[in-house]
Amino acid sequence: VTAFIQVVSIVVFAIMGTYAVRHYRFLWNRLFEPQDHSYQDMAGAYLPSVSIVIPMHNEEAVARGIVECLVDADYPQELMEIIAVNDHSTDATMKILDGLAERHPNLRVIHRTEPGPRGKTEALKAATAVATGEIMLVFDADYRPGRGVVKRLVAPFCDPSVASVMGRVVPSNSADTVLTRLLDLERAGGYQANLQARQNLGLVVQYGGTVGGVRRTVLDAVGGWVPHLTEDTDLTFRIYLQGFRVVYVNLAECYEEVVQNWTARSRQLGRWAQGHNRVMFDYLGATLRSPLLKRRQRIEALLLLGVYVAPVVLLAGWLASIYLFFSGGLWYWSTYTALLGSMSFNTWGNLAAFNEIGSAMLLDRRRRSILLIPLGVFSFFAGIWICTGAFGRAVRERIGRRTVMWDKTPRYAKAQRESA
Amino acid sequence: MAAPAARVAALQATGSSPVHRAMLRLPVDRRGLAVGLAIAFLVMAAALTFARPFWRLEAAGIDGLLRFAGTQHQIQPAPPASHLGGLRSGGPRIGVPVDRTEIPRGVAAIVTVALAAATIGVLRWKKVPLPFRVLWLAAAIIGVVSVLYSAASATGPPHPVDRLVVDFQSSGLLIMVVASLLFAFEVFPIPGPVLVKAGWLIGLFAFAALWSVVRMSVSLASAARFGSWPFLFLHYIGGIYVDFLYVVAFYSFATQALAKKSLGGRHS
Repeated sequence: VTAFIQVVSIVVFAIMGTYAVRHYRFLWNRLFEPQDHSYQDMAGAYLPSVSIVIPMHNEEAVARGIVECLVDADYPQELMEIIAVNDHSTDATMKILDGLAERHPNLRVIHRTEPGPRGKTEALKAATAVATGEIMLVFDADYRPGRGVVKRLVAPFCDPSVASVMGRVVPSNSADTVLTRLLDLERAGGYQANLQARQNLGLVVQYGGTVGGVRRTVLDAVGGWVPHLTEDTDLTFRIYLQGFRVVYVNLAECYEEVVQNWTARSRQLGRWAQGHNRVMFDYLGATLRSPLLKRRQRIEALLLLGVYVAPVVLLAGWLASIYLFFSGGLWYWSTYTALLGSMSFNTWGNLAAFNEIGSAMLLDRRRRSILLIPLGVFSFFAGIWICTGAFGRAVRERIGRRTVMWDKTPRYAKAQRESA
Repeated sequence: MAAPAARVAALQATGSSPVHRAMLRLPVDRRGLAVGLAIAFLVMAAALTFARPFWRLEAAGIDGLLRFAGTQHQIQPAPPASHLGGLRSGGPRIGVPVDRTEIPRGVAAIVTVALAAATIGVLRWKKVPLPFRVLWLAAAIIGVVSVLYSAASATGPPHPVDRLVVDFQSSGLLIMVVASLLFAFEVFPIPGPVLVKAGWLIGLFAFAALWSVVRMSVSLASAARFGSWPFLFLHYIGGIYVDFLYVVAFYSFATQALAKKSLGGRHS
């Protein structure tokens, strides 16, 4: 048994070491190497027709804000339609949207009230059925895009090989709680450092389901929106497997509300992890065999698909270390360094490691926030717990013993207004 | 490095606009990188060359702390160096008298049940933030394993609790090597005064050495006063988890200090 667990600890060390190398490469690239401009010299020059979709379910607190931001976008109004999908809302979302539609002629509202499947994917399908734009952009209802975001996001589509784009998400309520501050750090590391580095290095860039979009013809070619907890990651891999690519636009910054309490965070991260793991089960083999991907993309895809399994691996490493410690099988250095390396450099989800967060804060010129990085260990431990549970659910879902349950992320704008 | 306002003025004078944060990158501080690599190399060389004197020094520190705490102890010198400069054989052995009475199995069972019940309660108590619940769970698992191990074989191998070897792993020397490599690639290439970078790295070394002495002293004192299981608990938790925390903390201190000095960038 001891020998077996020693082998487990070596495997854990090797996996975590690989992720550490990956993070280091990203960090170095983002800090010091030339940055990919993501076709931004074409922003404002390439102006295709755009359908902007906003799926909504009980979004009375935020519906008005997102619509008003988008109708004010710096993009030719005749080339832009906004489609707000009211997906079985039981609050005042319907009334608010109808009122907005009277004032803004390029806002189309779809009310989904008939019994049937619900969720973001179904809302996207309904919007796609009526959308007329060459490009479909998607925003979640709690987002606040700046005026220039639309033209920045559509610019990469001037290249026919680009099937999808993704912009940067910046929390707008980071000062509210300790958790929102921690999530602000994670977002910065994930977008400013990690995603931009992947863009620079020509690796697999994820479409994140919001502040992003897809070329309509490609969406149809790869099979459209598929019901999924993480329909964005699912679409990403279908796009790459068809030989297209996703572009990250770091300049397209959009503000969002991040969750403010651990219960909501746990549900959100658990949902992402479960969906991401299902994508891994579905596409890992095809991705590794794909002749359309370069070797470095296949390696990155493997690591990317495994990011939500990494916490489970790390947990296995910890349990192995406890056994080895008490059984006397602790190797002179190896297990110790394995644990240290694992904890220092690995993290969970599609988020960046601590050092990437530090780099992102440096580039964002946010000096004081850097001091919050050590508090990230709280998210770290919580992430291990949440992702391990999500892995179990994903496995049960895979073998058909569990059905997927959609869970809406709570909004806080109304609560903020009332408290103000 | 020019101040931000001066840098912006310089960019405007050359017809360029300030770099947006999305496209900002930093110039590599090559001199800093060279210094960082040199320090990392020197730390590794020093760790291999002067490990045994360092361990003796730490053992003297532990000796002082245990005397202060009034804990009976005995320090045995390190065994003769066999190979690798004596690194494999480790440094001084510090022994303490331990009550060799095993934890009665009934008591161990009661403690286990009580901890399990408390853990279920904590996990279900939603007012406790999730990270604290997870940390409680981790500590409870290690605590239960420590108690059960102590009940089964309190003084037997592999962890005789009446002595502790100051070696590569327990002395903090390993963390110093790892930290010097981390700083070489992550902190020293960032533009900014080398003295600031080196200062925080030296601070980390000092903290690592100090913490190791305190940790080993507390572990031994707990073994002498309370028996085996607190020793095992503290020896495991203190060694692994706290090292991680202070490395991240010192990294953030150093990066924050450099951010004050180096807000520069250039078009890429």
